[in-house]
Amino acid sequence: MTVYVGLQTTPSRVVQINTPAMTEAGRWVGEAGDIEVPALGNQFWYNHIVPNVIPSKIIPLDSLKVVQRHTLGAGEGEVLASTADNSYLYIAPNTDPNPGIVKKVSPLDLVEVARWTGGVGDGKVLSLLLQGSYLYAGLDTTPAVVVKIQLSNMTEVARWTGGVGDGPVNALAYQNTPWVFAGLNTGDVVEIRPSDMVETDRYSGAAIVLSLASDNSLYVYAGLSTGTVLQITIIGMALNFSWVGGEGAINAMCFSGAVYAGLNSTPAVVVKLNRDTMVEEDRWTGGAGDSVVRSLLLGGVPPIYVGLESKTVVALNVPTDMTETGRWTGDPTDTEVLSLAVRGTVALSDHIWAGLNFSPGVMVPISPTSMREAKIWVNVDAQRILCLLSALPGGALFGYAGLNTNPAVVIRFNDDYGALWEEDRWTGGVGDGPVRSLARLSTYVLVGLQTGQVVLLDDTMAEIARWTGTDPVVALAIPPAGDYVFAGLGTTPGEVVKIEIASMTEDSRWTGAPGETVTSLAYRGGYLYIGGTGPGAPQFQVSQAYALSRRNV
Amino acid sequence: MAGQCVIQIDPDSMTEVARWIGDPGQVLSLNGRDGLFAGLNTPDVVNINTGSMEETNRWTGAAGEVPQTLARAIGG
Repeated sequence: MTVYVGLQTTPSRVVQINTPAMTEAGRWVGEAGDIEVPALGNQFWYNHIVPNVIPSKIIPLDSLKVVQRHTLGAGEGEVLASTADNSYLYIAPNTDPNPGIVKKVSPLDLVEVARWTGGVGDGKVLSLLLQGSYLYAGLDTTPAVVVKIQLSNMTEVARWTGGVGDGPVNALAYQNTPWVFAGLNTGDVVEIRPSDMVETDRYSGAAIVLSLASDNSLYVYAGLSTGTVLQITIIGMALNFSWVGGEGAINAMCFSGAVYAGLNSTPAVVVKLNRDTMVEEDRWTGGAGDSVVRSLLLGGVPPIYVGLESKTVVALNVPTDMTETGRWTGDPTDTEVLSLAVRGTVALSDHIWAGLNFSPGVMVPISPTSMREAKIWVNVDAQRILCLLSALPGGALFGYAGLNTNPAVVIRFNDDYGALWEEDRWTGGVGDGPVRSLARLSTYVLVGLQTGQVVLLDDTMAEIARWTGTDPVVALAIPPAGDYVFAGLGTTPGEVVKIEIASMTEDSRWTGAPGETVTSLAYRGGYLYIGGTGPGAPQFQVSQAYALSRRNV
Repeated sequence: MAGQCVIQIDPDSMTEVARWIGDPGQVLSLNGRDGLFAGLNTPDVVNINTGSMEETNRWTGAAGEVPQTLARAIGG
């Protein structure tokens, strides 16, 4: 069990505490300028915090880490290739004119933990292949080079260097005999023994090899600039069958029971080819504006993800019918999706990462279920958020933010697994002051205002009833039965009003003794709990004795 | 001087049943999901036994780390 504590510090801090031991398990520290945490909500998938800054921010936390798009460093250009294991992302940016690099980064915040850097004469990294404890990097170098890198320390342990006339390594694939296959810009597909990185065989072709895929059994498939896919036997490295599309170069391929080939065409096309006969079985054709497949990612089956030149990632339902099941489209200023990566499989990971054609490179985290970008939500009203209410298990995945505005505003944001965006809002009338408290009852939301009202909103964010008082409603609590709402008032002494929800009329109230105030409410186990200030210690002794006496009775 | 206080209320009669009171100061935040936790105006979060209204244990942060808000992790 965990409780999260928002601290009243600068910068903001959120501490994760394990209960019942009450030991600290982790903490998030805000950026400079983030002040306090005035609102903190429970959330089904994430926990959100709201630093007290203007404009306010709602930050999705994953193990107390912020997930958002990431820009690479100076000299680290377009993301030409990326891959991941269960623990880290590996990113190969364009480094021209400097030697290639591969960055090993944390999948949550993309903080670099290690890197491999090529030597003199090593061009940029064009292709990556992750297999077991090693990463293979194909270089933009003549003669061609494939470097074998040990994942644990990102050091080079061996390399294959081609012969005279062997051009850059555009693509890599793996077969578990084991072999590594390198597709060359000069037309050959080279079979390399990974243990010592010695070439053992090759298929000699004429057209540029842009992409490779392996069925991990009998064949390696080569996608050519001419729009043809070659089926090459692993034993003998001989051409068996081919699919002659001619509709555009084969920019990307992956294998999942069949061969999927992404075309350099408009509209974008992904073709499904029979693994044995190379006959086309199905295809997905993009809509208007969908152009050129730049990358394909097999993230578990289904689906596969298709990165487009038109700043879009499309999820396809394979192997069944190749229908589109979702898409993410970047901002107008975004660029083509050159690479895609996922940590482990989609089932294990929170995000897929799209590498964009910016310089410096940009990595965008996308929720595989909602296909929306995971990002910090900044409230456009530039107002401090005073309170926050999150979705409940089994309920709709919504969150509500109450703003420090006149009239009052409550924003409903959708927090569907990795993304945050404003979905709807309620704006109070004249005289409705800032939102001090929020509570949720099924699909209804109760809003406590600084100006003394408790407003009942329905699931369309429309007001359906209200109770009107005169003092600030600083806290709300609802029992499981949902028949009443308790409203804590910021009076001196403090008061708690019991309001019947059906009629939004006052049933009764508790009034504190002199000096007692109400700051917070909680409902648990049939009792209402009031947090605040009580009288000093001498009076407490009497009260506690009274309470114990009552319980004994 | 006013003290940090959590009051247990019978919701039917809206009368006090028992209370926990700490040091001089104020309770800033409460959370009642899977336990009762009170964030104080000192760097403390107190775990309160709702049966006895006595403190079970507490987390104490560094100086100045006042627990302004509390949230209980739910679901995943």
